[in-house]
Amino acid sequence: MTTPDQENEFQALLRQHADGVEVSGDFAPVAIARRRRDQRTRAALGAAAAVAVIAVAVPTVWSAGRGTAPVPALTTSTTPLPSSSTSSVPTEGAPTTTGAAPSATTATRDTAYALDDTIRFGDTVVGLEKGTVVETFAVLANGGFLLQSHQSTGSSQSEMEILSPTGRTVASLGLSGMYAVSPDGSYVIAKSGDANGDTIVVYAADGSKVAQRTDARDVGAIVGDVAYLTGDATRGSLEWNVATGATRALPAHVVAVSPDRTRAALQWFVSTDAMDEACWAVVELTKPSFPKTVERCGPGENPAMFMPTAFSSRGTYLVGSHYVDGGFWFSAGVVRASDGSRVLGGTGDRVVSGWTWHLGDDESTFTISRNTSTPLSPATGNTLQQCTLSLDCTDLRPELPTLDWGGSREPRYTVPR
Amino acid sequence: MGNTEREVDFSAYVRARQTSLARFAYLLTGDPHSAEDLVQSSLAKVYARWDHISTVESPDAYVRKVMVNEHTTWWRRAWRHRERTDSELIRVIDPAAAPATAHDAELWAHVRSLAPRQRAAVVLRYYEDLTEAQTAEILGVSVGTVKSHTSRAISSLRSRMKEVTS
Repeated sequence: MTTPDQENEFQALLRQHADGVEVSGDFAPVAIARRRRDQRTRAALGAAAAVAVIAVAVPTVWSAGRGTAPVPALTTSTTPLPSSSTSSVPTEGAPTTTGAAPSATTATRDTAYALDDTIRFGDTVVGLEKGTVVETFAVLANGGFLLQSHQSTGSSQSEMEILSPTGRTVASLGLSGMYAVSPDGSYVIAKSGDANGDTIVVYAADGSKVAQRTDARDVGAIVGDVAYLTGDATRGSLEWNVATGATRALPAHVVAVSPDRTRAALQWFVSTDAMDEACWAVVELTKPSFPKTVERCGPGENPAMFMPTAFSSRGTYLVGSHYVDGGFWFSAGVVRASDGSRVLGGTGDRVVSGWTWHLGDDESTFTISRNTSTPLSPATGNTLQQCTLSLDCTDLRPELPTLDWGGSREPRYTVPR
Repeated sequence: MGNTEREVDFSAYVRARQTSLARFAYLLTGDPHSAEDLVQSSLAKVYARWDHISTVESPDAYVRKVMVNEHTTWWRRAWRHRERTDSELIRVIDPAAAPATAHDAELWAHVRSLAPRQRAAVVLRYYEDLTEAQTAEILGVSVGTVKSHTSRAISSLRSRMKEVTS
């Protein structure tokens, strides 16, 4: 039993300590930016897959005091790097020459990476507008790129664009939206977060529009000419054949589809005291009842909160992340799709910390923009590595210090999906 | 609600309430860095659901609920990453009141040592001045559980203080 005096003493103590707390800045832009990073981190995991990928960005103010003007269309240029420079340490703002002849080589997912405001493959540097921060990108079937980026100053909103192999903008997909790219890079499905909020558009790699529909669901995946829209429990997900227009209702929460389109991965959260317990499952798409073949839910079955975002190139694995609470980077994760057994990543000393990554077509090695800091936080070091699933890693590019944007650390390298 | 409108609306709310939220977070966590991290991560979650939250009668109750749950989640995980932000948004200054006595310092140390749900119950009841029913709503537990949380917390503090005194 407590007495009023004890309660009063307690109340006075709490108030005395609370009164000493002052806020010397503005939490709003910081919180918005953090939400955006969390979204981007989770979405960026789609980059891990050799199959359909997804990216999400939400509107944000990148940091306090910056302007809000819309991001201008990117101006791009291409120039081959001198061959002698290919092994040198890359530096920010590498010189580019507008109008230079395109390189004879074509970007592939295995050769391309972004460094600051450039995209590089082989000896070629595609220079983006100075100050561009590459959030995610994908190499398309024609050697062009799907780019999601924002400016380091000015507007904080993400812009999605399709670039030609030389870096010229051929289609603007909108601001603050989501996209997915088909495994072969032939199609892009995107949903803008701006005024055309419910319009989902499928583009070919050259930027031409292939199909369009109005739908409140989100972008899930696209495999060949079949798109998958993610819906919640109320709406359910939807399969949409963009060639014929035919649709089929699917279970809620579809986030990835196997390359042969026979299985789908679902991912959802259960509302609990902790608020974000993660669940995932694999369902068969070939049977009308969509039976679950694997399901992992809650702290008992999914303690590291694995969240799949895609299947690997042959459908053996699900790739995604293990949740890192409060982290601005992710812990890469791979589980076997047939039984849910963990192959890569986890928590504690199993964290594979980085920002963007993809599992190769061989399903045995991955390329990652790695957090090389010891300890992992604050994340001060970043390099590009190739690793086996047993974590034998080789540096592909030199280590660089991360960028510090108002207290949050941003990577220098970005790996394509 | 459009993106710009959402940002403006959310930002206005945060600016109006951030000192109160920071103080609440400090009492839950006991240190300014964790408090800042808690406010940031909680508000990031709140922003994601702002279209809904902004329409409810009391966004504060919802936000406090998110903060309590977020903090409990930290404790429940065996491994937790804490991002030490360089930007110091929260400062803790010495209270203007009389210097803390040894008794107060011990009491504060014991508050900080309470289990997170107990501490949340105590802070909601005695700092936020919420009723037991309101505290139960935020914690997602019964009123009886709130009573037992607060009673045990204060009993624990009282017995520890007796040990210290003796």
